[in-house]
Amino acid sequence: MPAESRGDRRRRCGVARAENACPLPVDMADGEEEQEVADDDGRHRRFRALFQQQHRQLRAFLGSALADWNLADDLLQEVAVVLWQRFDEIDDERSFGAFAHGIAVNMLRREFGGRHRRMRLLSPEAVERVAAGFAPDRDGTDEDDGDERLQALRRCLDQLTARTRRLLDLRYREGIGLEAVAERVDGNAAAVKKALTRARSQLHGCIERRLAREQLP
Amino acid sequence: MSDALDRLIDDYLDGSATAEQVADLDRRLRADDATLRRFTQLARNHDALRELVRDDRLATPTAITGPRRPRRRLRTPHRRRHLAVLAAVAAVLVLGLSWWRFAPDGRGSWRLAVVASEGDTVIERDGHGLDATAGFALHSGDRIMLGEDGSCRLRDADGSELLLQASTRLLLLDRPGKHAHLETGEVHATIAEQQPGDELSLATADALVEVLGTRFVLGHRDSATYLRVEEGRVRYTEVASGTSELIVAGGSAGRARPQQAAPISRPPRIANLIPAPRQPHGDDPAVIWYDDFDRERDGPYFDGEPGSPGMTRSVRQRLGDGGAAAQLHYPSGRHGVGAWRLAFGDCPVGRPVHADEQFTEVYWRIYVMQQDGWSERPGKFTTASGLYDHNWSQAFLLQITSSDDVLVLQPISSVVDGRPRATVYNDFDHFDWSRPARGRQPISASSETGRWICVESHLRLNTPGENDGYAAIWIDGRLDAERGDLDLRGTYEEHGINAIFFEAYRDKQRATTEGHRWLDDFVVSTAPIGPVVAPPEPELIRRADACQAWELQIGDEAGNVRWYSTTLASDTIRVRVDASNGRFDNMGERLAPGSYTCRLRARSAAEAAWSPWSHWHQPFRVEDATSAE
Repeated sequence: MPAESRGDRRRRCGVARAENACPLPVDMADGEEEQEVADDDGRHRRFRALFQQQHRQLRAFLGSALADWNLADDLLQEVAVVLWQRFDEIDDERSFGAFAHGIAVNMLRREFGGRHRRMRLLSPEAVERVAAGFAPDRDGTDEDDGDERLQALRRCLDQLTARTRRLLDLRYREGIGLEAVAERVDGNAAAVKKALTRARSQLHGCIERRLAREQLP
Repeated sequence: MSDALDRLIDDYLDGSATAEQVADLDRRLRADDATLRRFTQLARNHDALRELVRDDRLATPTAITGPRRPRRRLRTPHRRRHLAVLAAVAAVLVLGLSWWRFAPDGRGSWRLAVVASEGDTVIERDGHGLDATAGFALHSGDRIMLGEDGSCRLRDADGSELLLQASTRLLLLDRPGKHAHLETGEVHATIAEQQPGDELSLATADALVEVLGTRFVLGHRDSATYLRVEEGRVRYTEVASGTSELIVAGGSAGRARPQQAAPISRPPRIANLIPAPRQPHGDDPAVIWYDDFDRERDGPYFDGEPGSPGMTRSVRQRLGDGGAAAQLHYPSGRHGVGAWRLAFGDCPVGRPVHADEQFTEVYWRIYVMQQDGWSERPGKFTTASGLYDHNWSQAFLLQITSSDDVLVLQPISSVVDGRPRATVYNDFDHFDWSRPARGRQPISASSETGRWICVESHLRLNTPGENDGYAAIWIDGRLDAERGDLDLRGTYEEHGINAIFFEAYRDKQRATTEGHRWLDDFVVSTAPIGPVVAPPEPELIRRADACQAWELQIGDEAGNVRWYSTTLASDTIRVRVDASNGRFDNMGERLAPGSYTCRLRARSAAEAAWSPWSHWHQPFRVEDATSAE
């Protein structure tokens, strides 16, 4: 049986302690164990905080490259797994965004690079360009205005009619297709598509106006 | 920036762009920085829109600890090794990240999800009313609101359950720990033992109940609170006086409970109905196959002999009150015994019906009943395939399986560059797994066992070279799950859909108990099928759950009640929908031709309250009396 690494033991014991069931090595003093758990806890927190800063940017990139937002969610989870696995490789936390972005680009390339025609996706060259468009700066700063954008969108949604909000709910929250949405609202798929396109166009414009206003001195 | 470019990008991001539009956008993205900037802006808007509108499915690291949808299988040469590494890392993560649940800032927070709901149940979130469907993940700040016919079961990640009764409003408070405010109504709580230091409380306007592992009923109606502890102990504090006391099992506090909620063991259901003697499928030119399993039929079923253990029929369980049903047996510790595999069209296996035709779109309907009280998930439910070789190699298939208590659609293709790549049956190494679609109705839940459920499935192959395929399932006439934009066959046209399987097959590791499933009234058609046809005065059979009395209503497609039963005694299991057992809304004497469905309620004793109305279920059609004879 391979020897358990210090990191593995730390992770295992960190969890198991929460469940009051960790068989601690006999040579590990209480103080050392507590210190390790504290270290582990801190590491989790740092990773979580860094990932949360980046996840919208990553998801927007993956979703736009795949034109399938559920698939993007799946792939983002895979990205998170790999990021966590390689978290120790990051010396400077300011580079976390660029590191995460690189992993997302690589995983996207590996999983879907050969299937873009069949899946009716952008070509690898165009995806590289899109990836560059979403790439955070190396110094850790980027243009992600996710919170402001959400805030603006929340207000913009209030301007929509109840029927349009219902259409958005069905399409994005319940994740059902245009035909099924049409069935639920007694309409036809073409009209639903048109209404959703109009709604998104209205929202895009509204978001931009609000974000631009906030940037005024 | 032009509107035309915005529309092009928007269509692409919405997944509805044509191949020409994708090519156009691709060219512009490669050539033009302004297009690229616009693309990233609109992509962020799309992402934000989905984040705001949909339920809690953000792929933050904590989401890794939760249940995950079946994965798209990776197709790299090192897929297995890669998956193994991922699995190992994920296992570490599942353990490691679960630590966060107990970390000080997230200590013991609610991680509630809806297990099942009935009647009028709505989640209020950020001013929007959302349907409380099974699996819906709740947030702090959510208010769960039940109407007079509502009931809702919530389960926390720690296994605790909250059963909300009719006319209840419960607010999940937005502060550390597990805290909720019962604004009105009644909650039956079964609370798992909490971690030391965790806080769990339910408050009403005039009392606070603090909990460690226990079971209790808390109610707040007519401006007063009542509490009854059934197991363990809780601390009960009156807000006005500040007095606090420990209440142990068997104890109560507050005012007397106003009226005992009906201790009906589970929601009442119509288990069975008597179909008209003659169903329309025999004469319908769209029908490919119809089997009521009343007699052994050789021929189009392959890989089994009628009457053999793999194709056993039951005369004890069947839809209606005569004939037989197909039986699937799930012995403890084994995959299962029983398989009905139908060949049709251009199937290269067996003796297919309609062998001179090719089918690119089929509907298939089956009635299924899971053994009463046996709520284990039976794995595979049904599969529609395009077999292209004698060895059963599949070009494509739609698998419908049981996951948790619901059904999941899983489209799969082995076609690459216009050719099927599978070389054997279930050739996983050559399967391309599309995104699955998960159903909503918990048909394997205990509340749904012991009754016949109408399941209709639909598969339409894509136009060669397009991704316009479609798959869906309806349960009791309600759309349960669907997937569009499917590309199952690429440009492959040599074989269509040509086999439908029903197989008893489940994960042996989870096969802990023995049970059965029965199938009846199997129809395959090129057109929508719908439920069975019943006579104009149909007879319906209640599941034999204990009760003192019950009532039944028959509704039409628009949700209007067309027939109201009288109050029926407990020993009345079978009831005819006629003027002697109830009244029609139009003072008529029988149901008019049309589609109908049923709901019912029950009570345990004369003085007890009625249970909530069940959801509408057990649909049937009534045709013109002369055609149904």
